[in-house]
Amino acid sequence: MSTTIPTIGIRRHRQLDQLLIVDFDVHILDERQEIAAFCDPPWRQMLVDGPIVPPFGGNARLYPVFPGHWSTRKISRQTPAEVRAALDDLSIDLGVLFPERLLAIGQQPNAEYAMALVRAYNRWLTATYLQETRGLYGVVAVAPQDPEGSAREIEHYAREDRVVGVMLPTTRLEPLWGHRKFDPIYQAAEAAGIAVFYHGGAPVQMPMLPFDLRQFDTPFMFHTYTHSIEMMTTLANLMSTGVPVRFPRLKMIYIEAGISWVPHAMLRMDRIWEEDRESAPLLAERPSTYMRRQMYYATQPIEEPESLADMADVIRMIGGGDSVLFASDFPHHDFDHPKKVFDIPVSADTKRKIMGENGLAVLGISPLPASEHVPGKTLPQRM
Amino acid sequence: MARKILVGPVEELPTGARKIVDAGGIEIGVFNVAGAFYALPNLCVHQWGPLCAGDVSGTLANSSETDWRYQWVRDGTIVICPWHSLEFDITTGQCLAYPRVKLRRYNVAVEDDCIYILL
Repeated sequence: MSTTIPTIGIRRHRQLDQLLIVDFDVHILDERQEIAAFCDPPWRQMLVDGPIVPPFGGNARLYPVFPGHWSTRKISRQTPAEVRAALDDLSIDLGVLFPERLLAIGQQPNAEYAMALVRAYNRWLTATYLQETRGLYGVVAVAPQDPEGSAREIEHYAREDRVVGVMLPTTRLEPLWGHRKFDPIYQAAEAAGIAVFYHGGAPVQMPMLPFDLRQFDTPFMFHTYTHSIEMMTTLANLMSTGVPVRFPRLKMIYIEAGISWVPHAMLRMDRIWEEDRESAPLLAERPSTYMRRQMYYATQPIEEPESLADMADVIRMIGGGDSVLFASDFPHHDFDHPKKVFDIPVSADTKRKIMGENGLAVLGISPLPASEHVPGKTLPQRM
Repeated sequence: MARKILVGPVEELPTGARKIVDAGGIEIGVFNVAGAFYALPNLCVHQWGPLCAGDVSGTLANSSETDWRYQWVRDGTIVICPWHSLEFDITTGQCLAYPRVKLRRYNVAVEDDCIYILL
């Protein structure tokens, strides 16, 4: 039983039509039938009628699910025009698109198949969604099983206008993204001037870095921590091997874990660095310095304390809003309406930064042409 | 004087069914729960999602009376918002997560085998 998330019924909010909104997490459905035509042989044939086709067959989680409750919901198959219309309803001008199935690419044991899948996705994405309508941008998928092949994909697609980054899923992979074997990926991204996006996901019930669901009894329990612990584990690993030191021009974005983990990670790492600095001597400054200089944090799923002013405090602790980026995660079950982030009581200037201006700067788009704005928006002229 | 909004003939809304109607700028969901009609706003208090388009189902409960074992309860009386899964009791408008949150309920009347919302 599944229900698609209805897009009818989304209410336009007038306030949101007076500022630019950049969304760092929109999902499209990369079903095997969609990408098969773009896949190299022999894998194409397997995508068309293979009896077992990972990662397209379920998520391997074993929690009991009752009718109508959240885990039964699935992303619907949407055309580029339908995605665009849904973002218009949410007043989102620019959406960065991510796949659905390929978030699980890290657990694929066959490196050649993994590379064929990401190549097919990149061809499909650039030939369809990035061609057909305004305001849709995308990220290159890569396979951690083949860092050199992945670097070639980045070099190939970074020239495309609407390719703005590289997707690095933070679940179901080993080793973690700080490992030196991934240097070719970071070199290619830094040279191309595009960001890397660490995208969280729900892990499976087996030993699998950086999060293992054994002993997690309920979706409530695992959903509470999976994404934020993936982010913190990945971040500490990147610091430990000095990725931000070795790639000082690389921008790194953390997606789908909310933002309340960020102050904790900053405070905790700075404290431990004082004591254990000699074990990561390439960190010339406190970890939080790199976290504010080169790293960005996407809002979804935004925390919802009884007093929204608490979130203004979180933003202040992260550095005042320059490192925070709006993300909706539409159309997933836990997506955020932009108004929920817009309503956090920070200054008008900080609101504009978080909702869109930081995002354009990170993506190297300035300004976004008026032809890419949601029709009907009246954006104030800014000096 | 109260406005009457036609929902439709009674046979259009059997037990378990629901219909969302436009009541002049606001959308209202009308539900048939065990033969009785209830009407709620089609607007979730959480993030403004289309609440009444959600699945009608039940929920899980456990208590000391069952030694904290799970029970499936209130089948057919709970609507689950399709956006973020907040659960509401259709018959009372009560949000299951937050005791202080209760949806407004609209009066429903049946006249000449037709269902009306009274505004």
